[in-house]
Amino acid sequence: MSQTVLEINELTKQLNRKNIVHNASFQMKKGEILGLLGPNGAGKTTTIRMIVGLIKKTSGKVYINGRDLDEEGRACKSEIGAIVENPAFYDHMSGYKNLEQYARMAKNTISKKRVNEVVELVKLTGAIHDKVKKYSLGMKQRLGVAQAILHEPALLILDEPTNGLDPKGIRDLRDYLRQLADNGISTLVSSHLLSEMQLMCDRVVIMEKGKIINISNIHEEEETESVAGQLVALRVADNHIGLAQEVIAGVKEVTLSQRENGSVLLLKMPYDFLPELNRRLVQGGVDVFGLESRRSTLEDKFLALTSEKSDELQKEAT
Amino acid sequence: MLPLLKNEWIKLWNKKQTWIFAAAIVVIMFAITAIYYSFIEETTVPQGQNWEIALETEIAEQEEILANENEEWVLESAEQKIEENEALLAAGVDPNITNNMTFMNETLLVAASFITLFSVIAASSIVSSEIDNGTMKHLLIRPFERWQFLLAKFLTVVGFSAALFVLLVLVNLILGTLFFGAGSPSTPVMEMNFDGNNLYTTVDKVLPQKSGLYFLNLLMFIIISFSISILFKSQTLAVGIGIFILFATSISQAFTALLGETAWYKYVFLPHMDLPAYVVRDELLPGVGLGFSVGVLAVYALVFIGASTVYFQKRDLA
Repeated sequence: MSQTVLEINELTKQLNRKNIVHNASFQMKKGEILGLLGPNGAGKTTTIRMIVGLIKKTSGKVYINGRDLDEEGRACKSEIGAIVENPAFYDHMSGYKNLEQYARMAKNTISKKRVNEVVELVKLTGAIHDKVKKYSLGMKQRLGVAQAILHEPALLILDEPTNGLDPKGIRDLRDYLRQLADNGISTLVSSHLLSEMQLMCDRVVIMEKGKIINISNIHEEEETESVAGQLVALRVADNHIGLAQEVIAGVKEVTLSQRENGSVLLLKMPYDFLPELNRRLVQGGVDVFGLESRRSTLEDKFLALTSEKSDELQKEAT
Repeated sequence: MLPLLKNEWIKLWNKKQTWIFAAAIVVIMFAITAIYYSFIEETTVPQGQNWEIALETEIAEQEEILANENEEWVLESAEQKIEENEALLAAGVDPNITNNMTFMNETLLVAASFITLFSVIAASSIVSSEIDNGTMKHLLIRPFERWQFLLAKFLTVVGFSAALFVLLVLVNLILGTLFFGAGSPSTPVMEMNFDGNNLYTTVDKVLPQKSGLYFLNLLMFIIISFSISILFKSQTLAVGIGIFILFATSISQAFTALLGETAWYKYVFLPHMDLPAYVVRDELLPGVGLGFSVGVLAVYALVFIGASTVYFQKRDLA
């Protein structure tokens, strides 16, 4: 049985009678990396700040390791480590002195050994006694991770952690998170970078306009896709489009999903059927320029979900 | 709570500004000593003359004027001079004696007004600067109540002011001893009172009183600027208002003369911001004594502290 580290239940934030976040509910298991996804202004940051207590919630509940945030706030907070937006530090102090500040505020005593251990983990050993104002953004981000995991929290919360990071920094962060997850630390991470989230997370919660519109498991979906329907892009000669469509219409395993710019057709079919389809197209006289499988990205899903939504809205309007 | 205090104290002394303020106190004290020294050089009667004889000679001179002149203002001033000299003789106060104790009695509070200024700046920035550069978020997610952070910051400012005051007393004592020689703490002195009888006392009696009353006012300055910086989220406004009150206090006697008759004036905090004046007089206005002044200030202090704490407890940190 896996343990629930974080549960939010019908979390709502109203400002000036407007719902910034409306009835948001989800759960997180131990060792899970959960992505909170959505466009800017979807309510991700507000949700996160309600969980860490920076923003007062209008209604709803937050449980951390089964404890109610309202009743045992301090016990809950000592289970959380967080970077909220840009990691901010006391620039005129060294990285080490900054960490000492946070170490003193922990509920349990944090030894010098632990501080050095964390410094090593985030690869800041060489620069830790320099003043923070000399740090690059990536170094600050790493120091941010260090302060967040210093007190060995059960739940790590990162709000837009990839903002301003270079590709290598993002990759490093991803590796840290995976390493932490293997040690049983759960991470809640928010971002609007879809491709990043796909690589980083086990599950994603998609938010739009203050509401959770979808929760999905990334790995499961990849598996089911490869059995039932893989997205395949077929590129043929310009004047063979009609011919190709005819061939495809005659094959029951393949369905035409959509026609992309000009001579590319998007098909849905079992992965194993690819060679057979190719054979039939050639036999049907179609000049095939390309046939490749496309893994459906989080972006496709996200756009599909949000466009469904806007379709519904349009229907409602008419 | 103790770790928070320690953190704040470390952060404070890691700022350049703090050290600049401390250095400024030393420099200012040197300047005051230099001015005082040149002033004393000019006015001191030749050494070796008995001060009592000098005062009596002056009384004789004034009595001669009384007998010969008949213009009213000349007579009045002569009478006053005689009265003053007789009181000095009776109390055994040598008006021309200068030693490190009389020097401290006359200059300590002049220099201390700079401590007020620096405390106002420190109190205005200690909360708002952390909100501005984003580090406050990383404090409030720790397992403490919000008011505990405010209390730690407030006590740190008070500690800073006290430290500056101790520094000032030490520098004052050293400079006074170097330039004017060591004197007895029980050196008799006269405290001028512009609208009543002068007070004849000794340094060891009057200086602790003045310092204590000064500190009450200082506390009030800290409370006001600290609260305003929280309530209006503006460091600039808080410093501005603090300095405005500082200047307004120095001309509050003019306000008192103008508005003293009105029923509401005694409930305004401004005239009570010059508490050291109670050393020489019992009442600021008819019926308004030290107890009343401290009471009015206490009510203001509670309102300011209450409002800023409640606001800070509830506000959303976006």
